[in-house]
Amino acid sequence: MNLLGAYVPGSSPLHRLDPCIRMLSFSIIFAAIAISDSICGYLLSLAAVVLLYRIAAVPLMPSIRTLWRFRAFFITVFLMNAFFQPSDDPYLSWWIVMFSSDGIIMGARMVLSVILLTQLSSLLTAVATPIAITDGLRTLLHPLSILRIPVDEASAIVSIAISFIPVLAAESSSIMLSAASRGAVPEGRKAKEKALSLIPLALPLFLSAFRRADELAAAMEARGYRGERLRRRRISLSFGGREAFSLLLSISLLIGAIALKGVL
Amino acid sequence: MDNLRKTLACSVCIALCVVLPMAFHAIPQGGVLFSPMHLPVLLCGIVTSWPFGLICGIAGPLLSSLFTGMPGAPMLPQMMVELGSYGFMAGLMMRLAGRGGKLSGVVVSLVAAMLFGRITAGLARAFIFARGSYSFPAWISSYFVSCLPAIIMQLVLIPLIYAALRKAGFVDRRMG
Repeated sequence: MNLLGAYVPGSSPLHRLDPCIRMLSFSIIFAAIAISDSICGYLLSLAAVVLLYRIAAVPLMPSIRTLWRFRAFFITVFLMNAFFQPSDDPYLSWWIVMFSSDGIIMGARMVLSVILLTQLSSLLTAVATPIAITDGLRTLLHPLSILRIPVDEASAIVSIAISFIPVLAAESSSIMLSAASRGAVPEGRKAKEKALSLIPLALPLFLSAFRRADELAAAMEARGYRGERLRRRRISLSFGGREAFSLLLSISLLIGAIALKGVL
Repeated sequence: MDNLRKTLACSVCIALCVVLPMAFHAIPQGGVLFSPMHLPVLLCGIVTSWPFGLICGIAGPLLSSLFTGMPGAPMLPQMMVELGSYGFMAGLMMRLAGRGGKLSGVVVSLVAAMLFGRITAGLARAFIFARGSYSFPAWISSYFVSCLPAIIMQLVLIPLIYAALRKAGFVDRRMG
């Protein structure tokens, strides 16, 4: 499966963190990177991401190599910002096109943020299984159930969705292979033709996905499933020195990012 | 469609939000041109109801970002707002205009959802995510010009997929 952050089994402190605290710490670091807007801020974020990879004992190079495959996307994001960002002092201005230094800086910032945040989300999925991520989210969002927000139902939907991802990814590749075996996929031709050839993939994929959902619903009904509200689940939270250090580190990074906003 | 089937339909649509873009990203600019994540979100709203459409629109990009890195985190909140609006409005309009599951109701819901999502996303960018640095030409360019192939593809494919799902018995006629 073409996933950026597959789970990497291990026993590092990040692997052993409580799922809820791990989600909370990563969310704080996500926020710290997202608000960075200066060179110092990006350097601090970069140092934090590299340090976290070292702590987790997860190799950084494979995810960088995967990121390279998205270079066309990064170039598009950069150019969209460079050419469409409103500016008082543009180098070139014609119709809706406005090429300026402000646009170039904004594009570079956007690309840097995307790269750092992608690396961080890749690390999160490397140190936590999908079930641990869902558990962490469920525990983190549990207080919202006081406001009658259906947190348990939403987390059940997300956890079922996660288990469907590899199944549907395999299904899509088998549909594409069967289409190719009939000569329906024009391999190696123009991008437009390749894109048009992917459109017929959608119908069988949706039908197959809904058939699987229907089969699972029948199986769940047969086993007497009556909805998440009637299920009892224990909300557990273990908070030790490791968790305290993790929160301290992430909050320090957030404070650092706020302090460095607009510095250089 | 009962609540369990709606829950599971929503789950598979969220999973498709991760899987479909993986196929389209193999094409240069495939994600930007064809917006493949919009398809399952709009369909989820139409087939289930607005709360499930909203959940699909919020959770779909979130999971895709976690698993594939796309959309990148700076774009993630904007996409969650945009797709959440699509799912919400598609479900709501289907309830108002799509009684009996007529294809005309599906098209009306689709057009309303696509417009509402784009307006909401534009307002969110103008007033929250890119405050002071977002303009009307940038909105037109990013939501109508650059993704014109996606708009055409959605208008053609979603009624077709809906008709196929109804024919296969996965969608209740009464619900739409």
